[in-house]
Amino acid sequence: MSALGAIFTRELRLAFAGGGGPAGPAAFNLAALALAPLAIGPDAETLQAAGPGVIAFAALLATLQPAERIFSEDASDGTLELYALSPVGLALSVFMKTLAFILAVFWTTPLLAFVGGLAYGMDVTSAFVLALGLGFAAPGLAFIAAFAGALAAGLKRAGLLIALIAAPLQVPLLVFAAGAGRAAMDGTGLEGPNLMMALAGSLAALALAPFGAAAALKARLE
Amino acid sequence: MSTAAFSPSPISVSGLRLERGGKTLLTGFSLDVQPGEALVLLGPNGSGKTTLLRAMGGLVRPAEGEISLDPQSVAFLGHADALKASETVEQSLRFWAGLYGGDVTTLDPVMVDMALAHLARRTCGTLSAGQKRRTALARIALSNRPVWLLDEPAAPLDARSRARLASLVRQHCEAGGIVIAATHVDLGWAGARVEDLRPAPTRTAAGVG
Amino acid sequence: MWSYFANPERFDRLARALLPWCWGVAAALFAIGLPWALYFSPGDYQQSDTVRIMYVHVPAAWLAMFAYAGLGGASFVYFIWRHNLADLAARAIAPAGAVFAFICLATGALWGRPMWGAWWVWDARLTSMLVLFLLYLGYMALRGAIEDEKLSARAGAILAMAGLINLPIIKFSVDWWNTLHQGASVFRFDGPTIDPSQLWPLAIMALGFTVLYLAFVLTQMRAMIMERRAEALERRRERRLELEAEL
Repeated sequence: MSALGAIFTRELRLAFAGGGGPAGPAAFNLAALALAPLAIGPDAETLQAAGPGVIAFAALLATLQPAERIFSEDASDGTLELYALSPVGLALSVFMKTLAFILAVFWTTPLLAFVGGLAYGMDVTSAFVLALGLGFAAPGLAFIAAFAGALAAGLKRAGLLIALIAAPLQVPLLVFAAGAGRAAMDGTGLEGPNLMMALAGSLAALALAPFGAAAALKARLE
Repeated sequence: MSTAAFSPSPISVSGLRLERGGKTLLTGFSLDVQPGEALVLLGPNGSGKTTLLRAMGGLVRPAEGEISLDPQSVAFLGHADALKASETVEQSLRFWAGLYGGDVTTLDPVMVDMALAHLARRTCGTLSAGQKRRTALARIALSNRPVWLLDEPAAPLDARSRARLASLVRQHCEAGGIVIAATHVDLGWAGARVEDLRPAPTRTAAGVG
Repeated sequence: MWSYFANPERFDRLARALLPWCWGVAAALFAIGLPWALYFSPGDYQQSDTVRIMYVHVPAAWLAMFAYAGLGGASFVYFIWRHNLADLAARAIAPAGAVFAFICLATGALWGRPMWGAWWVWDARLTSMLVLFLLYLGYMALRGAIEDEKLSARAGAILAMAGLINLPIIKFSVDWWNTLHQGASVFRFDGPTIDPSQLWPLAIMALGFTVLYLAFVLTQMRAMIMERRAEALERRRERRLELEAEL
C-alpha cells in the first residue's frame, strides 16, 4: 500500500514539476472555448443552445492534448522497466501513475466548464450540472486518452493516431456529460440519469483503461 | 556499503532462442551462473546481448528455451538511466530504494562510494552523462536485489568511475550476489567470467582469415 | 483446436480447398438474390423503388458489425495464444469491415436523400455506424504506424479488444442520444415485421455478402502467408550472400 502511495506522490510531483501540471491542457481547453463562439456567431440563443456540447467537446480535446507525453518519456528513459521489475508490477504502477497524472492535470476541467457555461449564457444551475457531468466524465475521458497514448507512445504522428484511436471510445462519456448539461438546460429531468451514466462510464474506464495501457506498454518493452 | 549477504539460487539458461524484429539473434544458447559470480557478456552491437539481458530480467519472452531467474530478484540497468529531469539525485534514489524495498539508511555511504554526495540536491536534468550513469548505478546498489543485470554499465564513465564500478561489483559478488553485464568494451573486472557472444560464423571467418 | 489450424501450411491447404466453394456459393446466391431484390420483389408502397437500397445497405451494416466481432475474436485469440494466423485474420478482416461500414454509410446517405430529404441525418443507427467506421480507421492507422510486426500485432489486438468491449456502450449511448429512427425491424424477439416478399431476397443477399466476405478474408490471408514466405526466402538469400562475402 505504501509503495502505491509512493508511486502516486512521485508521479503527482513529476506531473507538476516536469509537466507544468494543468497549465497546458487548461490553456488549450480555454482557447477552444474562446474560439468556438467566433465560429458559431454572437447570437446569444444559438450560443446557449450549443454551450453544453461545445464545452464538453473542448474538454474532450483537452484530454487528448497531453496523452502522448504521459508514457512516451517513461518508455524511452527506462522507467517502465524499473516499474515492471518492482514488487508493485507494471499494471498497478501504470494505474497509480495515470491516476496521479489525471488528478494533477485535469482538476481544472469542471471549473472551466462552469465558467464556460456561464459565459455561453447558461443559467447557474445548468452550468453547475454540466460542470458536475464533466467532473464525472473527465477522468474517464483522460483514462481513455492515456490508453491511446500508451498504444501510440513513441510512434511517428502519435498525436494524430491518439485522436483517431481515442475519439470513438470516448463517445459515450461525451454524450452523457454534454447530455447532463443539456437536460438541465431544457428541463427534461434527465440530468440525474445522464450524470449517473457519466460516472459509471468513468469508473468503467478507470477499471479497464490502465490495464489496457499496461498491456500495450508491456508489448512495447518486448 | 551494504554488507547484507545474498544467497540467490544459481541462474540457469538453457536452449535459448531469442528473436528481435523477426530476426533470430541467439539460438541454442545456454548459461549457468553461480552465486558470487560476475559474468561479462561480450559482443558487438546487434549480437543480442541487450535482448539476452532483457530476457533474463523477464522483460522479453524468449522464442524458445528456459531461464530460471525470478524477475523479483533482479536489479536492472538499461541503456537509459531512468532519471527524470525535474527530480533531484537524492529524490530519485530514495524513491527507487523505497519501491524496491532497499535499505534507505545506506543511502549516504552509497552516494559517497559513487562520488554523488556533493550532487545530492542537483536535479537530474543538469547532470553530465557520467554523473547520470553513476546515479543509476547507485540506484542498483541500493535496490537490495541479489542479481544485477547491467547493460553497458561503463559506457559514459571515466577511468576513476570505472574503478568505482568495479569495486561496487566486487563487493556485491563478495556478499554472494550475481552481476551480469553486457558490454562491447573491456570492463577490467578482475575475476569476472567472460562469455563471447560474437556470432559463430564471424568467429570462424576471423579464425580462418 | 486453435493449434491445429495455427499451422500456416495446413491453413493454406484448407483455404485453397474452401475458396472455390466460397466464390461459387457467393455467385449462386447473388445470381438468385440480385434479380429478386432489384427486380422481382415488390417496391415499398411508401418508398417505391428506393427501398431496394436496403438490399445492399442492410447486409453491409450486418457485415460491418459481424466483421468487428471477428476482429475482436481474432485479436483475443492472438493476445492469449499468440497464434500468428489469428493476427493475419485480424489484419485481413479490418479493411473488409471498414469497406462494409463505408458502403453502409454511403448507401445510408443515398437512401436518406429521398427518404428524409437530406444526404445525412444524425440518426442513431447511422451515427453508430460512423463511430464503428472510425474504430476501424483507428485500428488500421495504429497497425500501419508500428513497423515491428509483433508489436503491431499486440497493440492492434489490445485496441480491437477495447473497441469490442466498448461497442455495446457506444451503441447504447448513441441510442440514448437520439431515439428518432424507426425501430429495428429485422431482428426482433416477436418475429420480423418486414414483409416476407422482402425478407427472402434480403436474407439471400445478406448470406451472399457474408460468403463473399469470407472469400475476401481467406484470399487476403493466403496472400499474406505467401508474402511472408517470400520475405523469409529473401532473408535467407541475403544471409547466404552475406556469408559468402565474408568468406
